[in-house]
Amino acid sequence: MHHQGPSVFHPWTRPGWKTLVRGLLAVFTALSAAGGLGAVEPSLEIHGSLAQSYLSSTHNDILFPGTEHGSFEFSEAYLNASRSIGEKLRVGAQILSRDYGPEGNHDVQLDWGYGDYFFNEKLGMRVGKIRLPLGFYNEYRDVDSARTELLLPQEVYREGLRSFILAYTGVGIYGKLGKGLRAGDVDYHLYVGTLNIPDDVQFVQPLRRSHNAPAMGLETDRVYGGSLFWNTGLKGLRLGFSAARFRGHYDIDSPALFYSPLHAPFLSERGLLQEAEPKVVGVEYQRGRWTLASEYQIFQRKAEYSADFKRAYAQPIIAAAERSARAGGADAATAATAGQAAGDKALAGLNVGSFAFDSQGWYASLSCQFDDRWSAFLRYGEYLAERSQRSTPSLRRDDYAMGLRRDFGVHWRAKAELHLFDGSAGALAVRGNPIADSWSLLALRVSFDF
Amino acid sequence: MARRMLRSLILALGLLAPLAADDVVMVVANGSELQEISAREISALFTGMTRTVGLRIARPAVLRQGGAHQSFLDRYIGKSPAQYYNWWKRLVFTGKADFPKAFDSEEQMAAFLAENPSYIGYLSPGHVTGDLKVLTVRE
Repeated sequence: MHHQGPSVFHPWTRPGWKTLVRGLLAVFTALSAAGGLGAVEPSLEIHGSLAQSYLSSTHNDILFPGTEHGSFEFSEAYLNASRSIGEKLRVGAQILSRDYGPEGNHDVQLDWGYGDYFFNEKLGMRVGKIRLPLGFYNEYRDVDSARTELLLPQEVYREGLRSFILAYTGVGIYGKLGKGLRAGDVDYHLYVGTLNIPDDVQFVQPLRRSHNAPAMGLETDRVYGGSLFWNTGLKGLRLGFSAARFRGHYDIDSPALFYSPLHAPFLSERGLLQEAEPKVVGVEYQRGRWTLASEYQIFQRKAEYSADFKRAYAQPIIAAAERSARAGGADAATAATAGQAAGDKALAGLNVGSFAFDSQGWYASLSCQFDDRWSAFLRYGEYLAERSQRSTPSLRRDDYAMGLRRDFGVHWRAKAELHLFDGSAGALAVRGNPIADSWSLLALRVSFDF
Repeated sequence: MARRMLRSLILALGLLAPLAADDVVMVVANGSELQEISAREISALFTGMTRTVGLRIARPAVLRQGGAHQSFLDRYIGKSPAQYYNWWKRLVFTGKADFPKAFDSEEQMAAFLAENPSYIGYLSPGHVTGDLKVLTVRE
């Protein structure tokens, strides 16, 4: 049975949209013409989206402070432009304005922007700021139209870590291997570069609080990683593995730190180091209107003081202990031993401030697109803030989620979903109340794109 | 109870059954060197998962609506028109691809394909003009 589907594909090219984007188009057209590269098919694509969400949780806050009283502080706007230059080169960029609780506050920033050169099916190269391939959905986690859910599974795609794992700035190669094989083909993406981590990212907040260092930021030394997605011979079935390794250091710039002997040494370069290593495996099966997906993630994070910093921190303590021992009549060897013991004790106390997390999460979801207007999903997820402590309610969270999506044409949509939680890992205490182990979240969103 | 079970069974069978599809053929300009294409290549090309057919760079051309579009999606893509559009959005909004060239009518598609040998499109058999050739599709 046939039906006349909605008119799809770049409706922005209609006169109304042309008027809206005329200015940007003129700029990009001028830029591309100046390049003189002789485009085979000159075309500039401009697209954008808007999304406004509402979150309301019971007992605890989730994602960011204030959700227990209902919060609209979750909105996003994107505008992107891209252009093909010849058959093999593409350039494009997307700007983002986002508000997510204490993060973003609608500052405009570059979301991604890169040049992409396609050598052949097996090898392409991208240079610039590029979405980081981690799990099936991280690269397009903000494309609201691409999924039924409002919130991606927080067991793998934690919103609090979004700014951390969203995009790398550097060089990546990609391609497809095994094309035409009966067993299917493999899409790969390998990269090396740095991360641009905003100062207000929640990832840093616990360390800021523990060190009374509100101006602490996280600087990247390097990040590298890759993804392998196997599109199997069974149509609709794909398997994925992706991993990233990050190393950086905290940068502290606050005169107030001079007042604390513990914090003062942070002023030295690279005193506190951060390592992070997420790995995700997953399976997705899409058949007709149904999509079944499950992913598992291990996320190891470690913050520790550098060896140089430890030496600098312990040295005056060791010297003082040696002086004290000598003053008491000890010989050089005994004084050195006393000094070393004092140094070790000081460093042991210092290590209390180090942070090491070894979290894991997984989910299984089933979604169905009933027709071009209605779709729904069911999902279960389990998150352990510390893998070794499965039975501690404050470090564990089970999420039973269900939701509905309603499309109004191809540009507008509304979503509603309910999460029932057991355990409080990731929950935030509401001022004056203890954290509850059984609670819920209602999330609503309206979004538009063109 | 029995009626409910029967209804569920019918619904389940309906979901698993192959979708009905009218005739639709894959076409290129007569000047194209391409003679055949596999169903898997069609699926990959028209979902932005590949940019080549054989060793040649190829570009998809699509219809916005109509019976041929629905048949094409049913047979080779397995998505509804809205799902198909949303699929492309995820590529476009991450900068990985542009939307395919799209047409309101088969006549427009046929005229465009005739003059652009690097494009591959689909038409109902009655709209294939003398400037175009029908590709053999390997299943």
